[in-house]
Amino acid sequence: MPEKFSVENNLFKTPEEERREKPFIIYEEIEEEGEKKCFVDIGGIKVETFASKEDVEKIGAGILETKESQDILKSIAIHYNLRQPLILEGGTALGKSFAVEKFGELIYGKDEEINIFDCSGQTDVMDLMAKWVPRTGEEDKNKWENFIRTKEGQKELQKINQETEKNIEESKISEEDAEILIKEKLDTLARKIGIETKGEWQFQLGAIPRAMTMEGPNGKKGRICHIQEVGLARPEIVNALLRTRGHGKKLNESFQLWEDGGKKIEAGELYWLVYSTNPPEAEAGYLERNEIDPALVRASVYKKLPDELSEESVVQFADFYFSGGEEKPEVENESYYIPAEKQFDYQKDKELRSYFSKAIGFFHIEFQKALKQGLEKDRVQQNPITPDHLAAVADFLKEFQVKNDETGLIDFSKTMDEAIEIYYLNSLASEETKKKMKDLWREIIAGAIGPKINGKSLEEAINKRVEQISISPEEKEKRFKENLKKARKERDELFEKYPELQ
Amino acid sequence: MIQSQEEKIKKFVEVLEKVSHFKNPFAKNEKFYDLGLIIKEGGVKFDFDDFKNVVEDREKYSFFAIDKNTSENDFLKFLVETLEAKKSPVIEIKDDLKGRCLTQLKRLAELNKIQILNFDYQGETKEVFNMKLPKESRIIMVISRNTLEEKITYPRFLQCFGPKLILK
Repeated sequence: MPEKFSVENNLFKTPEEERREKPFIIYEEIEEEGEKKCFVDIGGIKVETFASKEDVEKIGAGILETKESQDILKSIAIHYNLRQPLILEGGTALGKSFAVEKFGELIYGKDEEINIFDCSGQTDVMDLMAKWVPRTGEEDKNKWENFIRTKEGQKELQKINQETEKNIEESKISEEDAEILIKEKLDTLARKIGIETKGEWQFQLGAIPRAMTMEGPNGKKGRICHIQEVGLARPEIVNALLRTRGHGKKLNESFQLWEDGGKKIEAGELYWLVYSTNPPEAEAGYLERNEIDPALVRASVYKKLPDELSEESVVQFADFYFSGGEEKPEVENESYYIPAEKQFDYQKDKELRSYFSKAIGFFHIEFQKALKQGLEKDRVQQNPITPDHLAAVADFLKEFQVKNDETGLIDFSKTMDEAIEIYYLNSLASEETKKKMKDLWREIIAGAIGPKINGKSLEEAINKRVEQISISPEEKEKRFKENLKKARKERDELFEKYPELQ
Repeated sequence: MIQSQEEKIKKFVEVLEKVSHFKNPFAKNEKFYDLGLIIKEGGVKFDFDDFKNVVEDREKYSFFAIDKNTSENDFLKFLVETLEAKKSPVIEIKDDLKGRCLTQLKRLAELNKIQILNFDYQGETKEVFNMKLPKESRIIMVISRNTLEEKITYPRFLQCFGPKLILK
């Protein structure tokens, strides 16, 4: 609905239009139920921030706005809000790590860091999950660290963890007893390699449990954890990462840490995982890189970025660098995604939710069929389609509805388009297949193929239903009268111009 | 060390000192420093004392060699202490880099930062230790052609470095 009058162009502007005129990253303070909350607005996506206004503005000003940077930041913001782990796959030096780092700073403040875990090289599960370290002198500590990273050491520790898991699951011992037992076994192991511990051990959390439980701002717990080069992760690392899986592409809210006698680790509300990796395709030059474990892909939102920057961006960067930063790239604000201020609880409306279910469900099946029939079959990286995709889209449709500027109503066509792009199309590598599947989606929604509602397309049925439930009978009558008045006016003008028509 | 090599090293260090750039495609204000790599061809010997004799501020550099017996903690401690003293570490790599060492190398290369979990430092265990590369410090790594081609398993090792110098 029109809210503000702009003298400049003599038009009423909606809040959405106004937002598009502001920088991609802005700071906002909003009063919610008498409480002041601070947000960083990333191209329309509002994320709660604990950074100061100055920090947000400074960080925002330090990010070069390009199509790619806006696109990555927008995705990060959306899936952070939904607590859905995100996999960013794209060529080297595309800015994935930088974008994740900057997002962390936008949330926590300029001098705060997110947690990092790198899967390349010989990183061990204990660095990811947890480990025990003897409270001894430095020399013995180093000896122990070196031992537990050997094959033999890892085998022994795995044995202890497996026994603990079995004992706890079969309720043979309590968590407290399990811890005592673990320490006894560790003592024996340490003695074997010549370390005398006197039973004193220190428990150290690895990257994931640390990110889940880390003390954060305003008494909130949790931290963003960036898992880098997940395509190079060894199977045991992948298995450990799978413990973070929740339902419907969400993160698990807790899990038991067998390393600590099965104690439950609860995730704080600021905890989130983002993965990054380079493409596995041989032609992209990453022959050593394996496919990301399909189960991990299934549990996350997969975003395929380009293998390299677009030619347009390279030219812009060249201008930027050689002008000493003076010639900044000009970007269209197409990456802005501005959800309506008030979201509509569609799940309460039986009719509307059934239309969504029909539309997305039909597309899901068709997408799955296309993959089975060989869509992008030559890619190493496969992206299995599961009901988790449906669950994630259902969640997205609840949180990220956009408004139709003309009608002032929720535009579910546009919202669904975005959801389909994020959860299905963005996992495809080639622009051609992406277009093909996008066309398929538009055909389904426009009624060319797939389910129809009383002879109407799903898009028409959805729009009609939204109108029915959003507009009161009084408003409807008012709009009808307005439209009638407008039509009569147009008719009169026409008759005035062409009297012979009367 | 022959004269031309001394000059090459001098120039190489100077480049590392002076060139900072927008390393990341999206960084508008923040400039980063490159890590430098010296590759030794054939039987060329790299002597830290020779290196120190070539560079201007010899006290600025600290030397460390990583081989298969090096403890990760020892290396990380050296790295942190050197950077805290605003000095520049010169690290000779004689074997494949282990997990936590490689992670820090990559993070330094990408964002000029360090993050170490559960780091035993100055008598206590720091749960999460964060540090930025001081503007006075640069990182120089030295590796033989044989180690580079035969032992380093990380496929994008060379991408961690900006300027590279080959000593023949």
